[in-house]
Amino acid sequence: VDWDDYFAFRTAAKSDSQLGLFAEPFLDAIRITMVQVVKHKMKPWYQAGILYGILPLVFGSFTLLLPTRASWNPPGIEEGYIELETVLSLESEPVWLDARTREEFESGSIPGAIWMDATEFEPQLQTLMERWVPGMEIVVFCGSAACDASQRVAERLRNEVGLPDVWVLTGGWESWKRGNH
Amino acid sequence: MEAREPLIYVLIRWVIALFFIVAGAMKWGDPASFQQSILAYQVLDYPTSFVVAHFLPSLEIMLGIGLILKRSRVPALWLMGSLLLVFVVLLSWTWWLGIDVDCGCLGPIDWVEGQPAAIVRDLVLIAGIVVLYRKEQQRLSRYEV
Repeated sequence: VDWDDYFAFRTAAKSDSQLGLFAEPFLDAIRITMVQVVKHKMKPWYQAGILYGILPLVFGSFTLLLPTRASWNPPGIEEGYIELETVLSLESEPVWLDARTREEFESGSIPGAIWMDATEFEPQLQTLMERWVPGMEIVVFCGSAACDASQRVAERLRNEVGLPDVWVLTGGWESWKRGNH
Repeated sequence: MEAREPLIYVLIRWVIALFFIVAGAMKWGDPASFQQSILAYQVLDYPTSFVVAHFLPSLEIMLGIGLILKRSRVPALWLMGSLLLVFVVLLSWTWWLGIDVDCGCLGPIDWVEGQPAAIVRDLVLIAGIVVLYRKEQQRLSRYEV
């Protein structure tokens, strides 16, 4: 690094940048790279590494800050929710937890589902733990998108029992019935 | 001092370079839309398409700039050619399977519809890249001892 060039850039940048501390290392990386590429003669493949390796990584990183950023996960498994189609496409069968009332559960539920009410949580936990093995997804559902019993059960399982991979089924029992399962 | 380059090579280089710069710039600001185009090919999963959607447009822009600048022209041609070959394979694959996809190459301003036209366009670009590569080899061979 040519430190004179770098410090000249850095000093000028202090008054220019409105992006704050987080962006400074990125901006520095661009400034240093541009100095290297434009002012100094470098071996072609080293230049290529910077031009087609480092700079795209730096410029691409800026797009992570855009509101139009891409999604890492399929829709429906953001913030603890999962779509029925996503559940059905899972490689292994998840554990289904029915968070509706006991009467509703007994009148019909997803095959193999365990009834678990947020208010009678502990007695059913044993049944769940007998079925669950590490790596298995747990999907909780209640009557429809409007109910919140499944959210309360999922939160308790995550926070009190410390189970990973606990999801709330988007649309609940209604979405299962709509799918004619 | 180097002799002036024939105009046809300059023209081909600028057309290919501008195509890559515009293609990258059109997609750079909207990674979410580009990701949907990628996912339509049914080849990549969400995390991989996330990485491609965020970083491929920047790479395309830099390749275009690299081709205009004299520096690192050969690596740019190699990378551009490889990228276009991958696109041709993907487009042919989806065409074969009957999957209806937009090329997604130029983002919202892409005028080409359907895989056959996009494949032809990519093949024309590859032909241009081969011509430029041979010219570059001739130019660089003069410096070899």
